[in-house]
Amino acid sequence: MEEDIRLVRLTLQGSRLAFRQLVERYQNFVFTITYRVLRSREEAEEAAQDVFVKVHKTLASFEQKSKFSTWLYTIAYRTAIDANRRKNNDTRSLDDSEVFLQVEDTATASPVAVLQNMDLQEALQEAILKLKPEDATIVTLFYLNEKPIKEISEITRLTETNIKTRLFRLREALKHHLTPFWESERGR
Amino acid sequence: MQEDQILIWKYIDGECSEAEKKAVEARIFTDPAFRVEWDYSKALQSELSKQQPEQPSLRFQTNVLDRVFKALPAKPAQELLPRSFVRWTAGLGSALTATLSWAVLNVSPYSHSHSRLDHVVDSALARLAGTIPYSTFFMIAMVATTLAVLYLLDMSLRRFFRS
Repeated sequence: MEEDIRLVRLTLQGSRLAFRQLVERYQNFVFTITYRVLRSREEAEEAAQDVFVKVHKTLASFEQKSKFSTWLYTIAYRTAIDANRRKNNDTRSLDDSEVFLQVEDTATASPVAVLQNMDLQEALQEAILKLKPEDATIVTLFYLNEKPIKEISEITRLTETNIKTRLFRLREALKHHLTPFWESERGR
Repeated sequence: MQEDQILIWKYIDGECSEAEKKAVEARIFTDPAFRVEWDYSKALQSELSKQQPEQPSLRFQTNVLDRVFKALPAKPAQELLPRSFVRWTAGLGSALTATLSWAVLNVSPYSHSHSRLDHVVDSALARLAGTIPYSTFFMIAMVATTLAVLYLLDMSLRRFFRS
């Protein structure tokens, strides 16, 4: 965190090297957020680039009230959601609680048959990409970025209760999706 | 069933009270259905914690830096010497070189003019030409010419990059 602040200060003083280091530190995490929202590597990369361009333009407005990473992920999340809305021409509210996450089963082959040919991590990644963008972001921030619920609430502007509810539902959905894999493992 | 799932996730997230913890730990050994839920939840937790971030393409960083820094106005090139100093030096150097050239190459000790002023100037230049050896004059002329060429090159390059 202190290193982030040091790099932010140096970037504001005009250091290109410091900004390059910030990009290096966070590019994978920012890309993961945009990829899980947009589900296309090309679009996610474009959106992640937009994130860093915005960060550089608005760095002076970062007031250090929150962690730099929280501020950065907020921009990443907003940019990705906006890009997704433009893509889908989707004007639904993020807080539309009627729309729950649904992990779709593969339509043709049986889940067990599909999962047996997959690595568990691969199956999990695939399932996460099938979550709603907001839920995919919550699971990414909670597990990959190890952000506490409070910070996820700041980033997504969802209430803490809403995030806890969504986290419970999405974990159960993921568990349900992966159960055939574990059952087949037990059967062996 | 859902209460059990909620309780299990509360336990895994470290949000259970002591009483709830004890209840979960007891049921793992006494309730087979609860045990299955527990095992799958723990397995999912373990897999979720093992995730690695996605990696963008190798050109990602270069693309970002290109986009960020091409949008910024280019920094003015740092000048080694103030421009006014360079101009004055170039002017004085050219004037000195021209005078010396004239003195060394065109001095005639036998002026055809009868003017007293011409005679004084001619004799002064002849004396000056006599004190400066040709090698020194050649060196000064070369340095002055080089400086003039560099100055003109610098000006044209600045104009080229500005456009």
